[in-house]
Amino acid sequence: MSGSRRREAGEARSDGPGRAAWASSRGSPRRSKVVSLEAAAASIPAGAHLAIGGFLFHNRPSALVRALARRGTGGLHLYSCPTASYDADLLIGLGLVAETVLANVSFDYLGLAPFFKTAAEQGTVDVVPCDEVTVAGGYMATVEGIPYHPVHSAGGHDIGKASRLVTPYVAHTGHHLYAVAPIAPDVLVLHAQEADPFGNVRHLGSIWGDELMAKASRRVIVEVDRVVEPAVVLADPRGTTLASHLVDAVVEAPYGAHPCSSHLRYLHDEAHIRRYLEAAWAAVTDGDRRPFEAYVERYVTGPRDHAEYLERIGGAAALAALEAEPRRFPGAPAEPTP
Amino acid sequence: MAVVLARDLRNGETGVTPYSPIIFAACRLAQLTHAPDLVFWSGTLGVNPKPPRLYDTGADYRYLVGVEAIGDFYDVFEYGETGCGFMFYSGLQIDRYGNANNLGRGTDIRRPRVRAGGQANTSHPVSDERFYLFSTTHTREVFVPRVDFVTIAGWLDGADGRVRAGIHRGGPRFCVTPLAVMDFDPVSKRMRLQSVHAGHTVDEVVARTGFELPVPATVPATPLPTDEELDILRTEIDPTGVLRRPLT
Repeated sequence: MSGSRRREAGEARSDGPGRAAWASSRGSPRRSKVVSLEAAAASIPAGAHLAIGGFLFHNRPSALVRALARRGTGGLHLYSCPTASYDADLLIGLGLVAETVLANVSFDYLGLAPFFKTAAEQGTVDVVPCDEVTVAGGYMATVEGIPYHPVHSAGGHDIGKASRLVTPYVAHTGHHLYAVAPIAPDVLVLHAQEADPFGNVRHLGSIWGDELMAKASRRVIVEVDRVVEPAVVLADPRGTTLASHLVDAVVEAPYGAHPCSSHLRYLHDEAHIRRYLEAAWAAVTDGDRRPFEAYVERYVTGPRDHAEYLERIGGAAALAALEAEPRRFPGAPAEPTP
Repeated sequence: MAVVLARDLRNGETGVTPYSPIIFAACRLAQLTHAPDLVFWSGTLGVNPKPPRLYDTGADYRYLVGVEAIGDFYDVFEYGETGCGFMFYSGLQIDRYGNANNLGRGTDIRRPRVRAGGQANTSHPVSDERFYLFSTTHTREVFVPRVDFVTIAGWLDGADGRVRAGIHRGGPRFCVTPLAVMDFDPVSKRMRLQSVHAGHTVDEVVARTGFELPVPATVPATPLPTDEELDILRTEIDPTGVLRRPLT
C-alpha cells in the first residue's frame, strides 16, 4: 500500500491503554504506539524536514510544537498543507527555522504573522514561493512514487515562475505542462481528536491535508485530545481517517491544540492568540523582545509539562469556555465514556 | 456586496469559497433565493454548510453545522486542476486587468520589501469557468495600475494576454467593493465602472481608484437588496450582524 515503503520502525513503548483488549491467549500482544510528549519531541532531530498538520490555527499539534521549542530543536524546514499560523510564527520567532515551504502564513482575520513577515523581508529564513498546487502536487508525487507530478494550473502567475519546485515542460502529447517536484517530509506532526493505542486515528471534523501528508512523510506522530479504546474504532471504521499502518507514534495531550482549535472539541483561543500577537509585533515593530520573551517563559519554556501549561492558560474554566457546540453531528452516537 | 455576488451565482453549479464571511453569506443567500441546487465548498472543506450564524474564521468548526460531506486535500488538488464553476479572491493589490496579488510589495518575489500572508490557491483563476474579485476597502493602495506580483491570474496584460499565456478558459467576471461594481471591457479587458452603490458617487470611485477607470456615459446605481434578501441575510444567515460591523 502506498506509504508502506516509507514506514520506519517506531520508537513506541508498549505501555499504553487498550493492550489487554488485543492480547491473545496464545500470540504476542499487539504493540501500543503511545509515547510521552517529551519522547515524541526528542525523536525529531535538528534540521528535520517537519510537516505540521491542520490548517492555519485549526487542528494544530501545538503541545508537540511547544515541546520542540523547549528542546531548542533548530534548523527546521517547515511544511504544512498548505497554510500555517501560530506554530510556524512561534518557531520562527525563536530562531528555530531555516526554511519554509508554506503557501500562506497568517492569522486569518487577526492579521499577518509578525515573525514570518519579518523573516521573509529580511531574508533570515528561506521562504520558498509556493501555493496549493505545488504543495499538494509535491505530496502527490511522493505518494505516487514518481519523480514529479504533472499539473497544468501552475502557469500564468509569478509564484509558478519563481518557484524552484515548478518546472515547465512540453509533454510528448504536445501539452504545455508543469512538473511539480516531490515533497517528502522526514516527520509529520498532526493533531486529531481521537486515536486508539495502535494508531487508528479519528478526526471528528475537518481533516484538510493530514492524510495526504501522512502518506508522503517518513514518520508520523499523532497528538490527540484522547486515546480511545479499540472498540470505538471497530464500531465506526468509516470514521477512521488514518489507518494504523500510517502512524508511528501517538501522544495523548488533552487540549493539546490550544491555542488553536480542535474540531468538534474546542474553539481557538482568540484572546490568547491576540496576546501572542501583541508580544510578537512588539518584537518586530518596536524591536522590544521583552514581551515576547515573557510570553515564551510563561507558556513555552516555563511550564514543567503540558498539564502545567493548561493551568497557566487559565485551567478548566478557560477551557470550558472554548468547548462550543457542535460536539457531534445530528444522529451520531453519544460519546462513549472513557 | 454579498447580495451583488449572490445574484450572479447560477442554480445547479458548483464552486469553492475562501474564508471570508461575506463570500459565505453570498453563497448561502444564493441557495436560499434563486439557486437552491447550488453546491459550494467552504473553508473547512465542508460541502453546503448551514450554520445558524456567521463566524470570523472560515475554518471554524461551527461552520460544520449542516454539512453534507467533508472533503480533504485530494479534493482541493483535483478541483484546482479540473476547475469548477466559480471562486472568489480579494487582494492586497488588484490591478486594471483584474490580476491580484497576495504575496507582498516589492520587485523580488523571493525577497519582497513588504511580505503579506501569501497566496494559498492560484489554480482556480486558470481552471475555473470564472472567478470574482472583491475587496472590503476601495483605495488607491489596493487598486493599482499593475500588481507587484501576479498571484491571481486575471486578464494578465490585457486583450488576448491570457490566451497567449496558454489559458483558454475563465477569467475575472467582475470586482465588487463597498463603493461599486466594476467589470471588464470585453476587448481590452480593462476594468471599467459598471455601477455605483447607493450613497456613493462616480467621482468618489474614480478618485479612490489608482488607475484610470473608464466610466460609461450613464452609470446606473447598483440595484439595492430587496426586502426579502435583507430579511434572509438578517434572520437566517447573519443574525448576529457579522457583516454589518464597520469595514476597516
